[in-house]
This record gives sequence, structure tokens and C-alpha cells, in this order.
Amino acid sequence: MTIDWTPAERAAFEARRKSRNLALGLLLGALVVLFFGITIVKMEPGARAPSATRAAS
Amino acid sequence: MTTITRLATVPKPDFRSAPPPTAFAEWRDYFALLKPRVMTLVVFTAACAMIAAPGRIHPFLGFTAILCIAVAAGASGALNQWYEADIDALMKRTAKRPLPAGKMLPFEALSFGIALSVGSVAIMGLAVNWAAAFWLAVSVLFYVMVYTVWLKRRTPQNIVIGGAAGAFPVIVGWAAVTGDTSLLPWLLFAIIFLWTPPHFWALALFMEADYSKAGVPMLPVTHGLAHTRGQILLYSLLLVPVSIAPAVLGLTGWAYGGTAVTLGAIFLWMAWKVSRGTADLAVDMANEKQLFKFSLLYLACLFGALVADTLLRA
Repeated sequence: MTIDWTPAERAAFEARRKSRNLALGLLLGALVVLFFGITIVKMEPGARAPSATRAAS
Repeated sequence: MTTITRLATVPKPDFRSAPPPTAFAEWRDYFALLKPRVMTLVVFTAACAMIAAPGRIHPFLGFTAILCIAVAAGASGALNQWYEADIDALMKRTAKRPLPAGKMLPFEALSFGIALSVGSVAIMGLAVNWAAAFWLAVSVLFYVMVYTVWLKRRTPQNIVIGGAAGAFPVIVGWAAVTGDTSLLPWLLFAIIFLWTPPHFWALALFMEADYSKAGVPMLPVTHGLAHTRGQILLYSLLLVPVSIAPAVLGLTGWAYGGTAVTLGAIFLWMAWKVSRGTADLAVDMANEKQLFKFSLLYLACLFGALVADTLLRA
């Protein structure tokens, strides 16, 4: 769909889209690092998290 | 038939004439949806509870737990803003938020909030433990369903109930370390729960005009300023003994206990001054503003003392 934007609106849209895409890229990168870190920690011997058997005491 | 006729006469929106609101939402708008200020308090109290909890957690998993708590708190804030966009538009303090300002569509905020809620709970469960994930899910559901949707617009006790939502992160933080909960985290929960009414009602006293305009049944709007001042004193009288209880019961040392007694005395003195006040105009409410500011310092110092006490006894 073509939207009748003024050049100023088009420039504003593109700047915001670029910043959003950059932020999303950084977020996805951070998630990769997070999952990698969790995996490494979980593979360490004796690094199991405490059991969750009695949540609602 | 009338409805059909009316609908038929409403002109269709011309999406070609103006850019859609989504075109102008940037990452800062999504960040603003997370209510970063509220997130700070939640992260701080949860981190203190994690340090005070007996046991050990791998630093990276501890960081992951804090991250999940922060994101879940932010997600609750986003869902809250999605539901309250209509009243946010009426209040000066909230009118510039992304939804009332027309920077994004409600559906975007809703899906953003749901995605973050589900993601943070899932990661907490998979990476840390399912007890913490359970309490994290409870905190989000409580804030969104019980406080925001059910009670906020129906009862002047909304802030009291909302206090519970803000208190859950200490339970989550504790459970992240121990996989369980015990008396001390529930006392910490009670402290935040009882601290919330004096804190927010002090704010509501000098923001009364704003809440009145939005039709939110805050206590000063429904029961008047004098009644609110009395309730502030009442909850302060309940708060101080509960804040000292961990030391009295031997769950903490007296480094925490001494701080709780000192800060509690100051809190009571300020609440008493507010209860004696008669000012009707916000500009004359110096005591209320002072109590509001001190209440933030109070909670920070109390939980800071808890951490210091834990480290001293380690």
C-alpha cells in the first residue's frame, strides 16, 4: 500500500524504522548471549538450580 | 437497524491520507511502555531479597532471574498502559505516554506486553527454577487482572491491592535462590504491601485534581483529604511493627533492626504530621510531599540495611 507521505514524514518514518530495527537486532543478539550463557552454566557440574518442589509454603 | 444506518453513514477512515500511528513508534516508546521507574524499585527489592536469601545461585543465573523480574514488571506496566490508555489521556502526568499520545496502536502494546510476560516467565522457569517462575506469573496476573482490570476503577482501596502486586518480586527473588519461600520473604512482602498505601496516598493527596479529572476512585477523591490523611497514619502504624518483626523474630540481625526502628520512627513522625494537616491545595502540601519523598528513601534504606545485615552476618 502506498501512503501519501510528505518528504518530512517519510524521512521521520525511515529514521524511526531504522532505530527500531537496530534495537530489535540488539535485543535478539542479547537473547543469543543470554541463552548461550545459561546453557554453559547449566552444563557446569553441580550448577543445578534449587528444586522447585515446594513453591507455595 | 438504527445501528446499521449509523454505521453506514460513518465515513471510512482514509488510511492513505495520513501515516498510521505505528509508523512513528520508535524503540523509546516501547521502552516507555515498560514503566522503567517502577522497574527500578522492583529490581532493587528483588535483588535485596536474593542477597538476603540463604543459599547460593550462580551469578549468571542470578542476573537472569533479575532480568526476568525486570522484564515481567515492565510487561505488567505495558499491559496496564494498554488497558488504561483512556484514563491516561485525561491526566497530565500520563497523557504523554505512547498510547494516549497516539504513537502506537493498542494492539501493539498488548502483544508486546503478552510476549514479554510469557517470555520472562518461561526463561525464569527454564533457567532458574519453576517456583520463581510460578510467583513471577502470579505477580504479572495479579497486577494486570486483579489490580488493573478488576479493582482499580471500582474501589478506593485499589492502592492497597496494588501494593501486593509490587510486593511479589521479593518472593520471586527469594524463590529464585532457594526454590522455596519462608517467613522472612513474606514479611518483606508485608512491608512493601503496607508501605504502598502511605506512599501512594501521599502522592494522591497533592495529585488529587488529576485523579478526580480521570474518574479514578482514589481515596482522596472518594473519601476526602482528611480521611486519606487518617488512613496514611493507620497504615504507617501497621507498617513500622511489621518492618521491625524480622529482627524481633531473629530472622535478621540488629543492624537491620536498628535501621528499621530509626527509619520507622521518622516515618511515623512524618505520617503524624500529614494526619494533622488541613491543606486543600497542592502548593500548601509540604508535609505530604515530604512524606512521599521520604517513603522512597525509607524503602531503599530498609532493604539496603537488610543486605548489609546479611553480609555482616555471613
